[in-house]
Amino acid sequence: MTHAFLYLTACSLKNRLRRRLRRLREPRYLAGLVVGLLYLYWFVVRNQMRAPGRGRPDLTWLTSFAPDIVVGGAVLLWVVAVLVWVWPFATRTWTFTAAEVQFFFAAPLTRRQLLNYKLLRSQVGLLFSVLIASLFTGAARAAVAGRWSLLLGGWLLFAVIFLHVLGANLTKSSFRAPASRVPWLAWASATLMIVVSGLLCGTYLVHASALVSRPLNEAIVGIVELGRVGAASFALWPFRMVLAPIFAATPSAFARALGPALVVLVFNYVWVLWSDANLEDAASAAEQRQAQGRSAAAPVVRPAPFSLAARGRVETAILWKNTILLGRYVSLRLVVRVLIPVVVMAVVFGLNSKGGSLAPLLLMLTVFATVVGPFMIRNDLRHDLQRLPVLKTWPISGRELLVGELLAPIFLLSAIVWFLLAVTLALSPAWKDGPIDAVGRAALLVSVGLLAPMLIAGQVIIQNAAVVLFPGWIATGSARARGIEAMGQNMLMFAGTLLALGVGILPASAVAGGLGYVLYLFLGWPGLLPAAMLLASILVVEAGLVVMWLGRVLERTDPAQIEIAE
Amino acid sequence: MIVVEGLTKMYGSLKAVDALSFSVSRGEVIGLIGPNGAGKTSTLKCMVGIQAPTSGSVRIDGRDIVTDAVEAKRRLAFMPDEPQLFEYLTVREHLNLVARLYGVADYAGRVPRLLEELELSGKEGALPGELSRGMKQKLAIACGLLHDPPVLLFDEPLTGLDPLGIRRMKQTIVDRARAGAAVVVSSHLLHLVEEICTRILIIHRGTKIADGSLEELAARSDLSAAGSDLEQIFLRATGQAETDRAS
Repeated sequence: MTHAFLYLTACSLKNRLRRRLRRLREPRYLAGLVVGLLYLYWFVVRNQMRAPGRGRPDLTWLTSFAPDIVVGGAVLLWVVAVLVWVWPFATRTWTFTAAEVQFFFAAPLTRRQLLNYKLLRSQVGLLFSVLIASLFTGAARAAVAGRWSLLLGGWLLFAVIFLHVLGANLTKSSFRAPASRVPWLAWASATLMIVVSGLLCGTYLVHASALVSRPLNEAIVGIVELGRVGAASFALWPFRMVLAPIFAATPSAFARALGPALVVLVFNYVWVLWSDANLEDAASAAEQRQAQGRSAAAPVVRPAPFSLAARGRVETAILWKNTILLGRYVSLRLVVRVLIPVVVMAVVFGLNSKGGSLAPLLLMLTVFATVVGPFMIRNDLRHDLQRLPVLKTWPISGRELLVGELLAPIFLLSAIVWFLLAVTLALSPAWKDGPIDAVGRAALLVSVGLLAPMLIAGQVIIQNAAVVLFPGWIATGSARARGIEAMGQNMLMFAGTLLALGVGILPASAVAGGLGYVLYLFLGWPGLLPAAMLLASILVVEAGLVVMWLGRVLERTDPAQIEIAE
Repeated sequence: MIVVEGLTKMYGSLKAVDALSFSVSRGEVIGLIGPNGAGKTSTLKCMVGIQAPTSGSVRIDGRDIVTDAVEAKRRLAFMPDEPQLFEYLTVREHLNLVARLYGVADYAGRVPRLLEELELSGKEGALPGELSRGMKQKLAIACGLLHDPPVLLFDEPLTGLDPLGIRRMKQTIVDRARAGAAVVVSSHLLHLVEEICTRILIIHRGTKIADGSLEELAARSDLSAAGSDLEQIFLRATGQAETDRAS
């Protein structure tokens, strides 16, 4: 059976590579590949080819800190493991594809064989991740035994993480059964995790007040020091062993570190194999999802944002539809993913500014929402283009369709930006260190609030125009192309959008900027407000003209001529 | 009600529809049949404005589908073979959206009747992912019938329906025609066409090769050997077309 699985894995890999190579015949992918490779060369490879000290950081000093890095990394790994155990959402570790369900679930295979197959398939992704990681961390190779130790040690680390996530999920699923039917292994593994976490939590809680009172960098050193001694050192042993091969300074040290790391790997593998009874539940859940034609990202019914009357502008109907679209795919998991970096940034800013204002962070988030938001929020024609045959049967003009499609992302991002600005404005009096007085800051924020929606609208229009004019260049629906060529293609689109936006706003900015400067001389910062209003008015007219033209193009667009991005 | 004149659709150098002309009157149900790749779906897509004809014209109730698209589309409904639904809208929301697009002021009163007619009652809050293939088809048809259009175009309307659903769907089509709608049904199910269509249009390689009622087709000299069975007529007509083409 292993041969069949190996054959399938090899064929899948080969055909994926062939497809990637074949699509390079298309100019968009070829151009994307060139840009992607140039980016990798310029920012990654070029730096590594330099000798240390000539633009490439000399990291050999890391060798002396390797034991500390291993302990710090072990603490991080433990945190990750705890998150995996307490994370309330199912992970995709054991997700089966439609073809796998159809071919394997009906085939005479044991659950253990299925599990081994999933482990085998995961190695392809793991090896690729390790290769990429070693490429980006190549600058640190001088600090370790060699690139091969990074590769092998990295593979060991990723493999253990994969196995542990799988094992934790299988164990968690066994606890859904009545207590009397929960297998002993589930109790044992959960107990082990609780003991390890208890030892570590106990150690750090005892010293919590001392750690919190120190500056951030000293607190980190304290965490590492505590992890090197006593019960914490014992509890961190498996985590340290997994990391040790990567940071081994010499080949002999690497060889010595390999044994314990392999023990941890084998321990996790055996644990997963013995937990395979629960794979059936996961498999049946996957089958059920398959039968229902629902993916993990299936929409969830939530109330519509507003009720839609039977009569009125059709643009509102499309706005209504696209707002529902966004609300039904937003999950708690997504919100947590977005909030974590924001909270981390807020904490870091809070620590660095010694209890000061969060206004600079909020302004940074405002810029992020304005510049990157239009590329991320795609509930417009970028999502609907695949349904163009349906949209074309509607009794509405191309302009009405386009305006309706544009509204949802513009409204949503503008609301986010205005919210952030309102909070910034509220915190503004506490932002005392800046050179601008309170009235000036308020005038600036209102001007930004006026112009940000215009910039958002400009980018959304350009992205939608690109979808209509060059449909193959932008991913539509929920499909996302992968690979270096797709990365380069996205970079090209990002640069193209900003360039087009720059060309669009440059003349108007020149006029409004001149007016703003004159008014600034007489009125100070509040003088910027009329200039912002003028600029916003000009941009509205420009956007209107583009939308009218694009609407006519959309009417003439033949869905059969549209090549949906792979 | 529907007038198609010299309709031609090219995909690059491939001529999918070749100078096709026909008309459909009120109350008429025309069956559009042909082998795979004959140009049926291309014809339908041009008729509803999804694709622009390369040449020729399509008029819906006197409105050109290209030059007066919005008014023409307001008067028709197209039910494709593969229901194209928004996976994030519930059954009721689909109907709500369609009501707004077509300005159906009394849709709240129409929806329960329509859902009852199409056996979708109780599924108002379901997403398409929770519906069976047949129910999705019924929802697409409900969306098409909501604004009570005078022109109806069906592409394989019975796909995925259960026997009761098939019977009801046939009745729905016949009822709409009796109420004055002009109906075009494209299908490979010749017994369906034979049962509900008042006229049959056979196309092959984008060209019209036969047009008339079943009796008229059976009476044609080149098809008379096939008798009055539509399957035999179809096979003979398309086979004859192949022979003519080869010679």
